[in-house]
Amino acid sequence: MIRLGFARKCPWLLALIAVAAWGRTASAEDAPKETPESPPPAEAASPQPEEHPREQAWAHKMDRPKSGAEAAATSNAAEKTPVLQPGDEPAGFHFGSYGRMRAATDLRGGGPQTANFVAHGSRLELAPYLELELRRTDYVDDVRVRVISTVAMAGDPFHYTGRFETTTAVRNMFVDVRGIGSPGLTLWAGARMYRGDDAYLLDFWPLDNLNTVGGGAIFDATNSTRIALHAGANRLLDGQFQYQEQALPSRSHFGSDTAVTLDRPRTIASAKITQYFPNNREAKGAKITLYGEAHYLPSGEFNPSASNTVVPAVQLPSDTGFVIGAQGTAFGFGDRDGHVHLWARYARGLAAYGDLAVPFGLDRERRSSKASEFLLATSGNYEAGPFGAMLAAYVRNFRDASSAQYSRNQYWEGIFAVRPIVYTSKHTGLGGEVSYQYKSVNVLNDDGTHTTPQAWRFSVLPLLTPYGWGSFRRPIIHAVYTATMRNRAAQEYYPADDPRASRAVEHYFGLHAEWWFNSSSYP
Amino acid sequence: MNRHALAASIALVAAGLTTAGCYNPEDAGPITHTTYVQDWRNEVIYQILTDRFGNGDTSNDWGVHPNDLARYHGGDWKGIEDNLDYLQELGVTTLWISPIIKNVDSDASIDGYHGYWAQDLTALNAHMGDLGSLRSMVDTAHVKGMKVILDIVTNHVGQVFFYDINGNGVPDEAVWGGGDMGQVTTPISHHTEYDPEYEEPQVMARTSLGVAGPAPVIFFNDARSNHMAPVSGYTIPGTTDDPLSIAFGYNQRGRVYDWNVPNQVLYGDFPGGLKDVKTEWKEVRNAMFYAYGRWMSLVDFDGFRIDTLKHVDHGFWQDFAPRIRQHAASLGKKRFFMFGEAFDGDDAKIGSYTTTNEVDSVFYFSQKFTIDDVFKRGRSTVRMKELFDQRTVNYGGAPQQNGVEQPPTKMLVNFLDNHDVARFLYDKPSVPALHSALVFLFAEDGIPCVYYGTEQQFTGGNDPSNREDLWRTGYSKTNATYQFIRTLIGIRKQHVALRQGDMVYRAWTPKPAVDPENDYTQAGVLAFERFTNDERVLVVFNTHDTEKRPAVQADNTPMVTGFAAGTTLVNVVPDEDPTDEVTVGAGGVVQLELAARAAKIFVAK
Repeated sequence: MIRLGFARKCPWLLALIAVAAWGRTASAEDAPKETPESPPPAEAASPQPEEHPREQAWAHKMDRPKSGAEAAATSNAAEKTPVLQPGDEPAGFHFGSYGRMRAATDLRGGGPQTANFVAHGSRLELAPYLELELRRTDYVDDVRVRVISTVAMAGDPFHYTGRFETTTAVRNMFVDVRGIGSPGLTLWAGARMYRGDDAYLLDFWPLDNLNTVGGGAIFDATNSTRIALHAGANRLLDGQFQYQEQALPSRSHFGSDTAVTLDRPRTIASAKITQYFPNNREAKGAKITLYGEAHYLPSGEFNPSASNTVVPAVQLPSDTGFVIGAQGTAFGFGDRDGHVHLWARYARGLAAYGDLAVPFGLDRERRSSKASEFLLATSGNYEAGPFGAMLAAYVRNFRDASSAQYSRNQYWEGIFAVRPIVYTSKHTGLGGEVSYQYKSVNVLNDDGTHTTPQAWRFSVLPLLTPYGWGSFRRPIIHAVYTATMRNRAAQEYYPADDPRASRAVEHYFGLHAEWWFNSSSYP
Repeated sequence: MNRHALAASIALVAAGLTTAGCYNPEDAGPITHTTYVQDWRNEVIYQILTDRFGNGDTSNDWGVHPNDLARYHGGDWKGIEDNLDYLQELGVTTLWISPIIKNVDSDASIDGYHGYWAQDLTALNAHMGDLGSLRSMVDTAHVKGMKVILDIVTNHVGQVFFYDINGNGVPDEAVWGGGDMGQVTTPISHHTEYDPEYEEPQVMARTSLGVAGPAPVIFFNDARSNHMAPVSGYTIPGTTDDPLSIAFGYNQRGRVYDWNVPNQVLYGDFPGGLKDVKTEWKEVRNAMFYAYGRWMSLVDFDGFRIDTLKHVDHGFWQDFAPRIRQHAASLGKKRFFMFGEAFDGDDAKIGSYTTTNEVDSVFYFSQKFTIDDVFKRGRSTVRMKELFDQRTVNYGGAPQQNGVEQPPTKMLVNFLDNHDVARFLYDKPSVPALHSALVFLFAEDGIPCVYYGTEQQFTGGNDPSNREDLWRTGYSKTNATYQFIRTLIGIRKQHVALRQGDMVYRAWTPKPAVDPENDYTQAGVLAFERFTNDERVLVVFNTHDTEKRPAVQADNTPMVTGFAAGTTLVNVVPDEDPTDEVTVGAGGVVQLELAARAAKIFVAK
């Protein structure tokens, strides 16, 4: 683990870089006149907790040789002494990115087929995705200010589709301010991907993954306790559940005006408390997290009338939901990025469907209160020398609010995936992945049987690792061949004319690239 | 709610709307209603299709398609006001404007520019302006000595709902049947839920197994084209329902397909999906009175022209017309004139609406068809006399109570053409024939009505070709027909006998003894007199296109008039015929040689 190792070996150098960076900002035209107090060098040099694999990799990227700006900042180090904390980046503009791209085939002459049928399957067949993050960081007196915006693009690029368009979203658009009131207090407001640790192999955030516009506070009460509170809202452009626009006769009597007649944002509040052992400055340790969410949706009225028909309005009652969950994590073992997470989560009502979903299978009062989701999940990574192994698994029970005894919306599903890697040279390696997934839906087949779709997947991944060994070193280029073995029920999971319905074995061959760097907007 | 209470509430609504809905503070508050007409027989009506007469305000040119006759063209009330001088110089005294209320905006790519697709009876058609511009036009017309009659529709509304015959919740059009193809099989038939054919007791839902009860009525909900549930502004007491917004307010029997079946005519939807309102229901009657009484309160109109008279039951008119008269009186408007349209050649049927205190008059459709026969097709001129002779039989002989103080027999609204029929010149492209018919129109008993564009010799065929833009003529005052009409109106104004006198036919061509209906070669003389105690006028025609005719009676005996022997008569209609003067012979005999298409009005010199 280069960054943490580097920090352990040369804490004074890291502190010097940070101080120098602050000095560069302070010398800019818009810098404050007053000189902030300097933090204790030892504290500034303390290592960061390994909270998120992607953060680890980004941190690694920051260990690359300094840019010209950073070098310039270093040269000013003696002039200013900013209040920096471990992991703080230099003042100025920063660009970060996450992306993945692939060229793939089903080896039958067609494009790649998705073979996962669980909600969160193996990430090896994920479609292209790109995040571009622009971030401005400043240090004003004792305060760190960050302005963060992240633009994301999903789907195949122009080169594949021939269409000069993309599906774009702004996934972060917020400001956070640290140091007002308390050095450990960060306040933020805006639109934000608000989430914790993920199961990398499944591209899955089992405990907390919210998308809202709102704000929150993250308070490091001590070096071992972090409290995060958040409240925000989202109002999906679903056209029927949370939001509806209607063309109504214009007051001018010419044509129509558009009016919003259903507008009921869902308010989501979350609280998260994390206790580190021994503290959050140690490279090796553990943490326990308790987590909760509360959801509230006010009542509304949906008008299902189309232009050529008038039907009675549908009354949509107010609704609620909640999540309780916990996480236990151990980190810092092995040679690189060692960690293991365990999650448990129980969601009820609106929260069982997720924050960005329109609830379905509601009860007779059109409420979601009887819906539930229960989840147990784990994820981890262990590396020793040229060897590494990644793991992810979950089991999940979902029940919609209909209380139906037999329903396709009442099921158990689960997956486990392991990915061993061996590095054959400094820049090459060979990985493999084995996964198993199933989905047991609470319905009977027409012949009276109950079958469970299941699939085993076996993958081979030749790797090019320009940054050396490490499961979380990026960028990487890798090829992948995956064979997915479906049982009969898994084939019958698809429509009869879907090609996958007639394939007991699905092939996938792809050439993948994945990268991330300098994108650090996680709470 | 009794009538007084309703009238009071209308006044309150009017005051409230006037205060709240106008931009110009001068428009605020109740308006003053004034009686402008002493005797409607003195009036000359000019029918205006507002969308086609004048475009005075381009700001309301929303969605206009000036080259498509079935779409909005941009005409408005400001356009009428801007061109009142054109009408004043023509000599017309009363303007009949097309409906003013908000319509279904567009249906099947045809617009509601004409105004007969009502949707919101409480709102104005914004394509034509706002309340301020409407009032301004009406007030200016009054200042210039012209009255304004509003066209209203009570029989139907626009295409506002469909019959869900197959119960699938959406309007369908389908072709059913296997077709003939030389084999015994089911015939192909077209079915539409927008406008299904008439059925009693109402349009029924159907499956392949047969009828399945009344077909649900489902109102449209398309604000963009204003296919919305209708509004009258009236609420059924004890409910929140507007009678026009609920299915029960409609007869729900589908479209008329046989105009000879009385129930279809009364209760069927008008072709085009125009839904038939249940005018037999007292709450619909209240709603119609409320809606149109409200417009009387808001604007100083002088009368109503009422659409589709024969498609509404007599009971409605016997309720509606007296209430309107009473409301007019409460506003201070006397002799509020109501004439209705019954598009029918059946004179007795038309006339039936002028009895038992119904409307004051009707649009004289039976005569229009007879004029076509006589002045276009060369049929026996006795047809005019025969029709006239039925007038006292078929029409009310006494003034309606609180009405216009003249019996319907003296108030018939005469016309040559209108917005529902081809223009006179369309199928008779002869200006002399048109002028001849115009002389008849302005000289006969009744109130002449000129369809806009006649003065510019428009030649359009049936709807919508007969709805040309007047502004394309530049409002020319040099057109020969414009000048001819101006002259005829001047003559009518000058001679009270032409306005108020009695009428007696003096000469005509008979029907052939053999096959009397095959009388297309009977063009020739037609003569009548108009007379009062003080004045007598002789009007003579030769309806033949090419041949001279002597003015003799049907049996070829000399034409006898009511003039005293020795009276010198002079023709006041300018023409090129030298026989402009004639001396009355013994026994009142007048001997004339009439050139082809001659049309003369002789007055005592």
